[in-house]
Amino acid sequence: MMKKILARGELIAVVLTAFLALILGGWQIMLIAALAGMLIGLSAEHKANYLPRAAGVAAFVGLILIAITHFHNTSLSTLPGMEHIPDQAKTVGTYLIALGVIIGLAVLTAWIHNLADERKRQVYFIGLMVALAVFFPFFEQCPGLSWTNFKFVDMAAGCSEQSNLLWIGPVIVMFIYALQAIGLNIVAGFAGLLDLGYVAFFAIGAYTMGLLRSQQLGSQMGDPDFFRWSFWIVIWIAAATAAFFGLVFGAPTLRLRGDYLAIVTLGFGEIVPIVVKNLYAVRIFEPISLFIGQLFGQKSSDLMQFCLLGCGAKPLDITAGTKGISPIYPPDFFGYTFTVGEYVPWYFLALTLLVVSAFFIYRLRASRIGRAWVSMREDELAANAMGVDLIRTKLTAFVLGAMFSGFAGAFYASYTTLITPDSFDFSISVIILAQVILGGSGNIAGVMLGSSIIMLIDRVLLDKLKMVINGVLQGLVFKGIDNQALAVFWTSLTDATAYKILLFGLILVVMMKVRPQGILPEQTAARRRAA
Amino acid sequence: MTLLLKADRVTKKFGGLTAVNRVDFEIEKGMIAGLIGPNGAGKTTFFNNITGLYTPTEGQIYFDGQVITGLKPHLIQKRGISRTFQNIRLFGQLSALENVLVGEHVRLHGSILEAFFRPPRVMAEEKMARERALDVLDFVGLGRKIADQAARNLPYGSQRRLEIARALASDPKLLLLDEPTAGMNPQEKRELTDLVRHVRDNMGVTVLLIEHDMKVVMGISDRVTVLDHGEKIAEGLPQVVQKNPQVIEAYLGTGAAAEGA
Amino acid sequence: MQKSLAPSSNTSFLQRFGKVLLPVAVVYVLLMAGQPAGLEPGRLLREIISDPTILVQQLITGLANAAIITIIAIGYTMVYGIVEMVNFAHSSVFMLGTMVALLFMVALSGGQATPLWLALLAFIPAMLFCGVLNSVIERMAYRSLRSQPKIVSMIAAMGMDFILQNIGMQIGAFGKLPNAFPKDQSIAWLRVLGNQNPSPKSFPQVLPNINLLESIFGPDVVLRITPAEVVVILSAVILVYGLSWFVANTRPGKAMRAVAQNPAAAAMMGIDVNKIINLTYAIGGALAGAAAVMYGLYKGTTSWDVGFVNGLYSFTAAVVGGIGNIAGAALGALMIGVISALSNQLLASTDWSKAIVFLVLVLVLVFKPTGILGSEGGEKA
Repeated sequence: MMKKILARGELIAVVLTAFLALILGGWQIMLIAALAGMLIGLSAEHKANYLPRAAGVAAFVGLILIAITHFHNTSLSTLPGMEHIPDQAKTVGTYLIALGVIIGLAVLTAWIHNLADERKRQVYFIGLMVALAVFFPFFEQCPGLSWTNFKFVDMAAGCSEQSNLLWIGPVIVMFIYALQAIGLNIVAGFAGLLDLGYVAFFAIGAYTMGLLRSQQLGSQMGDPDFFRWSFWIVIWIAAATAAFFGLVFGAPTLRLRGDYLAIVTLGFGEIVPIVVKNLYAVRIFEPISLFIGQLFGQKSSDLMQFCLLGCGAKPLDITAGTKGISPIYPPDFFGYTFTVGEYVPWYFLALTLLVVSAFFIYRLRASRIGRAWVSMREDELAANAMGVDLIRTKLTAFVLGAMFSGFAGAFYASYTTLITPDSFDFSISVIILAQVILGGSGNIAGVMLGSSIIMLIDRVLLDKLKMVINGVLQGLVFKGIDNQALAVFWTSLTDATAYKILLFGLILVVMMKVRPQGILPEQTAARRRAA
Repeated sequence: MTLLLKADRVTKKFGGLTAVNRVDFEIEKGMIAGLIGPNGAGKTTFFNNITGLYTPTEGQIYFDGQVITGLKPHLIQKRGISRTFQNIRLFGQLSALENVLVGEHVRLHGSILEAFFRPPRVMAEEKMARERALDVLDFVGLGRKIADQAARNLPYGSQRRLEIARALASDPKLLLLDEPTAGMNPQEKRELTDLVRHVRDNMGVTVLLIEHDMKVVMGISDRVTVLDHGEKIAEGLPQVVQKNPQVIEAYLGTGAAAEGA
Repeated sequence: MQKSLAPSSNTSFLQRFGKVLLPVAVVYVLLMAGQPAGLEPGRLLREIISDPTILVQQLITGLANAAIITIIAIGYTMVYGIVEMVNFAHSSVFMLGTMVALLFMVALSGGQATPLWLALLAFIPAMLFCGVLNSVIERMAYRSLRSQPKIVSMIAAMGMDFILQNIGMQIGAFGKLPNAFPKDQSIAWLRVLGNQNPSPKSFPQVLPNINLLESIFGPDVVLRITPAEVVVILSAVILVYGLSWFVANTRPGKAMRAVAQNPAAAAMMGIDVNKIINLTYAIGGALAGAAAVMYGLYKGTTSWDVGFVNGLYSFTAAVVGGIGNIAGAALGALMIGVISALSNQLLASTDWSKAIVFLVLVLVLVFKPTGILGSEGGEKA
């Protein structure tokens, strides 16, 4: 019956809203309202009275949202497992604003979605997204906050600063991953090359930033502050270094067939962290003299062997091994220094990086190079016969993909201030690939959508789910039973965050079987017309 | 007339199998040449040798006075040889227009940075490329209306034409057509034959086509070459070749199945 | 390549010069960059000259490594030979096989030391489990994707691999169960899974860790062969021989070869291609299960991530030998086994062995993608 009243997209909006409201609790009501509003707008078919209809559905969903939120605040929060869910937004004012947000966005999105002019539709939609992104840091707060000196000052009762910062951190990380995902999209989505070791370039970018903006190398040279080059220069060096390694890795391997390439890139992703981990005592000699010297058993101090690097009393410690590089200096911006914990400047830096990159990639796709990439993916042999230089074109895709990952890595290193070889493990390649596949490989907007969904799951939902399940177990199931070890067992078995890789693997398999083109498939050219 | 393409004792072996055996072949500028032969005679293999998909085991290929033997396909394309495929190989996900634009790839020069900043030169280049692509679509009779449709959604006959448009977009000197009328009805075949003649007459492109349908090939070609078991068994004016007993035997001997198609 | 009009022009001289110079430069750079890894030919040569038994000893170790690698590699190579797809999940099937073998041995030992016959009996459940698992994966995840572009089934295989890895990691949770019921002896064996989910799990010591050569030739022998090495090598020989016999002489074996040659023609001859492909996966999986038992007996430990390294080694072996070729897999495995044993022994850290094997993979793929025993496939236009 529900299906008859609501269209499929609207039904999804209802279910999703209810679920998010339950899991995330009340005070994110604004964010959930915004998401639901857009979803309702996007699912509005162009029929008579579609705008009032969207408004009506939005009001309905909004009331559900408010009801659940209120329920949360009054009764649900006392239940076991729910104590981890923040519950501050109780005022009628908040509810009204949320209702306004959901209806307003639903109508606005529905209107844009049904514009006849393709070009206008695109521009307006991008404008809306950018506007939302810019206002996001304000969105996530309780209404009635004021904003001074990059800090949100808590004015509404019950809004603790801690809970306000739940979203912005994960969103910054999401931007970093989205940046990588749109980079991988060049390689896998446009050019059709399966790169399973994309994390290698992320690591290279991060370590370049780490080395050139920390005391790691400088302290061994006697001047700890020697490597404190400007962030704005180093981020380019990092991207260039990643691109260079993309060239080095790609040049010999890109002529391989697809499945071999996948394995080889998988290897790169594995080897780069190993190398990084082991470069903590480096002393390099000129090879020929070393060969002769060692063969005849001379000591390294003998004159015969020419030392080139790390020739001091101690060998050079480049990467500090498993310990990692820390602290990495945060960026400066016209006298303002970024600091850990002050999220807003980081947020806008990451947002700028992402938007500019996305724009760049969009224009690349619309150029002759982009056409060559996709033609190669569609039919390599025909593309070659039409004059597309396969090796060169593949290499361009691979190198540019590496470059964007390098950017992301450099930003990530500055943002976290600590990088270790473990921060670049295989699962990152998996997560990024899953983002590209889920969202819609070949479609930049789709890939970004994939990023937000996956990162929402990865950084927020799984953690919450773990807490809720844990709370339910502790509070309900094991309440009367005095067997702590059994509880430990169940907690560990039902730890939602431990099934991350399984979930992403499942997403890959299911998407391949059900919808290999992704949630938002690549569009054909009409929508891509250059301005 | 000047010589455009010359194959000198071209041989291609796959392991023990000789697919093309010491074939000498010449095309003069401005002609429509036909290449016929029963199934498995080595016609497509010969094409692939010319376009660089295969490197001949022996022999040389000259184009426009230069050796092109063993060059990579994209370099041969750049020299001015363009082709279509027996089983249509369009870029299905791309629009018709973009398919033609890929054909223009070698004529365009925008770099990566230019793709981002779009300086006036590149904007002008793209605009011209687009105009030219639309003209080519018009020329092959597809019209501009289908420009934004995905290639894989076009009807079969249009796909054949689109492949020709894509091949023409690079402004080639020589156009190789691999069974352009395969799978068409007589009406469509006539139209396509007219198109091929139109291409030669109005664009000044030399054409070499593989064809199974004798009627098509005899009607259109200035000269016909017959391959059988990888060897050239006859060459000359269509009417003369048609009466060559060796040719008749080659066709009848293999069931003359090709005649019907 | 291009025989241009002026054969002895300046550029072609430079090109020829470059052709010699480039590899020299690459080797030179490699020798510099390889020093932190201990890739120093002078030292290596000297160590080997001063004690040549290192080489022989590592050959023996390498042979035992190769035995396991071969059996896993055959799984890759058979599947690739028949459907031209790298089954990324194969390595994780192997990993789950080690878990099954471990649990079987420990569960049936009843708290006592595991007898050899029981350990050998573990071949049956491990092979059954992995064979069925692989065939189920083929049926559920890959079959319907076969007609799609190859990248689709590759991604699905990758996803499958992640799923299995995660399961392998979470099996460890059951190691905490005995703590909850300390009095229940029937589940005490689950303790073998450890306290942390991802922690490595030890196999029971089945074969004595003695030197067989010492017990035959007396105490002055330099070389060392353990009973585990003998068992592992023997098992591999039996399995390879049995498989070759199966493929050459039985009806399904012949059908497999026919499908590998030409699926369309095989289908016309009345062979159920789907069934044969599924059978190939099942056999490949069963072999991974056998390799899992061998791995347990030989290495004595397993964890959720053993699939990755062994998968990489085995895939490399399959490629080095010529993918699609069973004898090639054995030959490639021998090379990889010895290379990894030598680099474990001689390089700065065992971490680098992975890198070296990977380097071998890249070099082989770049310079001879068909491998040692592979044949040149015909191209299609």
